[in-house]
Amino acid sequence: MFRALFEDGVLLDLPVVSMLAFFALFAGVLVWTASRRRRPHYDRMSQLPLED
Amino acid sequence: MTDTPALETRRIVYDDGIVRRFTLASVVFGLVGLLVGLLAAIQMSFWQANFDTPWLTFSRIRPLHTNAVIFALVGNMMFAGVYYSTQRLLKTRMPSDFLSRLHFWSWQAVIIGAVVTLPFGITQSKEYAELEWFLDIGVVVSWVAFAINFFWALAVRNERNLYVAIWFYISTIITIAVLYIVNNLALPVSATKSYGVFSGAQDALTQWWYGHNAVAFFLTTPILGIMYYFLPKAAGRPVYSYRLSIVHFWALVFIYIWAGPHHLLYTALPDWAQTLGMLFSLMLWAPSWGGMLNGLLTLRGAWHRVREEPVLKFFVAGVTFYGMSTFEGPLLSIKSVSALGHYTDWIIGHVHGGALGWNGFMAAGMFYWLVPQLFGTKLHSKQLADLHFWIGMVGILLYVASMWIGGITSGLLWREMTDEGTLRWLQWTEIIDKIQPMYFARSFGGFLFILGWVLMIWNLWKTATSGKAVDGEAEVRVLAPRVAAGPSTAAIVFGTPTILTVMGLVAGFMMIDSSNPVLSVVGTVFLVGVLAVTGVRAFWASRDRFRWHDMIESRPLGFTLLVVLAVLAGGLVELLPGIVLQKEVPMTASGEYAVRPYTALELEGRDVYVSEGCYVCHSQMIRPFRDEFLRYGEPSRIEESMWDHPFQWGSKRTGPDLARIGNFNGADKYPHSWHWQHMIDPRRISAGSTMPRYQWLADDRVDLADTSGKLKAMKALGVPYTDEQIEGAVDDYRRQAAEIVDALIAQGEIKADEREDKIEVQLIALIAYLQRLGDNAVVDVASGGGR
Repeated sequence: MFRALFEDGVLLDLPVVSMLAFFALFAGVLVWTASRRRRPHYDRMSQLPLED
Repeated sequence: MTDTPALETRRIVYDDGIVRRFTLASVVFGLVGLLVGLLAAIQMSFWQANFDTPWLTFSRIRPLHTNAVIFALVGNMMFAGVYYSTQRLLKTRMPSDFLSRLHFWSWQAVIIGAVVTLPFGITQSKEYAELEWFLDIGVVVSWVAFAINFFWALAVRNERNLYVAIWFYISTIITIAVLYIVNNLALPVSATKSYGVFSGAQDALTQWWYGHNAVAFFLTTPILGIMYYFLPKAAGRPVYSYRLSIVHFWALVFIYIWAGPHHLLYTALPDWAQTLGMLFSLMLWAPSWGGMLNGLLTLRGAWHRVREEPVLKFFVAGVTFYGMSTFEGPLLSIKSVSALGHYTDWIIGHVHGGALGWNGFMAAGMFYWLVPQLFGTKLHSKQLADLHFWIGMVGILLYVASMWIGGITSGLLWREMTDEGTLRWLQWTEIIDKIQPMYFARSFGGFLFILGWVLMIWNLWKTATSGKAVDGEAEVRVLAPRVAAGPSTAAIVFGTPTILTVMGLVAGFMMIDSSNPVLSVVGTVFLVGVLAVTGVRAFWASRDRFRWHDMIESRPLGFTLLVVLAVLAGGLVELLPGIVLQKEVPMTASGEYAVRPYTALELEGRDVYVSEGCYVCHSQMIRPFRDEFLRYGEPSRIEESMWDHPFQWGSKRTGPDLARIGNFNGADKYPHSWHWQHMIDPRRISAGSTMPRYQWLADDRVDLADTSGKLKAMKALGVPYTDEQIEGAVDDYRRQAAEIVDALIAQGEIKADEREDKIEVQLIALIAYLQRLGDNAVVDVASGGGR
């Protein structure tokens, strides 16, 4: 199986696969960060410097 | 700690006296550090500006400038900001006034110690770690006092969760402690001299692991914490995205520590370490810009206030300079860009964009906001603060732009070839001449920045004297200590997010192991699986009652432990292989080391080289480029500096590389008389040289009482000296020195009746060392050693 894998040149796609994986992680984090869903905990923490 | 309701309320008075002290120290010592920098800059154009005085000479005052700006200006500013914001974010006074004062006075004592040692050549010669062993102990005492007080405050806090600024402070305290101690491990040989435990390539790697992360965790993370506290306060708005601050923090803390080797691209450092450094540097782009955007977007809806409020002007410009510097840093880490920019003034421009723009302007913004609060009054003059802003801004732009142009010009001229394939610019002074206008512009830019700083001091002084010192007070709800709700701290620290992160890392390393294709395939599949599980987990976690990050924010011990794991991961991967593995030492046919240890005279000469700070202008690391081969000789090899405690690879070429100054392609490059004349007055040898005179070296003497002890210390560090060499060190020294003196007498440089007097002068030892440089490249395997 590995022989076929290597001979078919699938290995050449490894950098592409890994790049896509990291891009998916990056995009996921970006979506989470940009999420407009409000969290009371985050709102409260963000206000801390303004309390004193 | 607790998440229980408040038991009672209590009125507390914050210790703002410590904030006032650190503020004063920052602006005053900062001015001194900036003025020393200006004097150093002027000497790039007028070498006479040292007034033939050793302790005013560029190579000695440049380390004072960098240390003063980093540890005195930024350090004191950082402590002022940390003490002010920590008390308010934790709703508690600092637990120990004694520790606060111990921290303050010991820190100032170290700064004074730097002022009275560095200009007098008492230095370890490792950039930003020049302070000798006895001052290092002072730094550790001061830092420990700070750390105990800070973590004690965390323990007695009256706010359940830790705000993002506190996370950055934790990372600073932990990481700087690790970096400083490891990089300064040394063996003292006298009251004022020590040898670092690392040597050669390992020393280089450790030093730049420290050097890069001193920038990261001393000049960046604490100032980011200050940004997350003071910018919302000044803008009157909460931080733009708390989620983004979580990503910003963890990504920055984890990634930064790996990036150190980008300071050593194309050197003799192993390729894997260079590539690792470059990759992680590029990854830094994302979190750094995330942080910058988080800062700038905090001003959404309040941009009109930037026009009227100088504090916001400084903060906006400071954060923008942060973005610029963190774009430029990764850019310079790309190997092909580094090939052009490294060793040039481009790097000087880069660091000053960060130091003046990011650190300097954030400091100014914080002081303009803070001093009126500390003295219960209003800022004396907004107009004067505005003037400071514009003068400072022009100064920074002039400085940075001139160094960009000068640096890139130098890099291009160094490599320019004729049609015949030879170097077009053989004379170093021709290249320096071409960038002289940029040095003038740089000095003027620096002068403008200092002028702005002086205006700030005046403005703050008038503000302070118009009010009186007041300490902030607050009514806080006292929270009772109790076991926190949710899983135990251990369960959180070693919970799913940590496990997934570790698995992702393992998968990543398996994937990039190009030597084993099967492992790469498995690693890739593994990584995709980990990311998929992470995504699913993140989705379901949103429904949990106890969210992982909310919980870890309320557990200082667990949070700190995770920070330690995050910073140690990169540090261990970089440092351990070199420390643990036995040195790969080339041996001769007769079983001896191919690279000879320095003779007693050469070792003393090397100490003179270190003491004078020659490394600030000269590298000893020839990169594998055609132009460097033609100009300097064979590329440097890793074993050549294997006995060098400390390494002297350098980071800047104001003068040419010296790795082969004693031996060029197998032959002596210059006679002793060339070096003698060159050190007494470089212009005798090289018309137009901007190097200062070092004529005092022809009179100052080496203290031979320490010589045997130095060889003994080196032997303890692994350098293969024999007992005979140690016992006979002084005799060997005098014998080899006499040979050089006799040659100089024959060449007419020294009078015959001065023979005995000159044998022990520092210049003879320095010549012996310089003539040795390059010899290690010539290995005669058959006869048993180097030349």
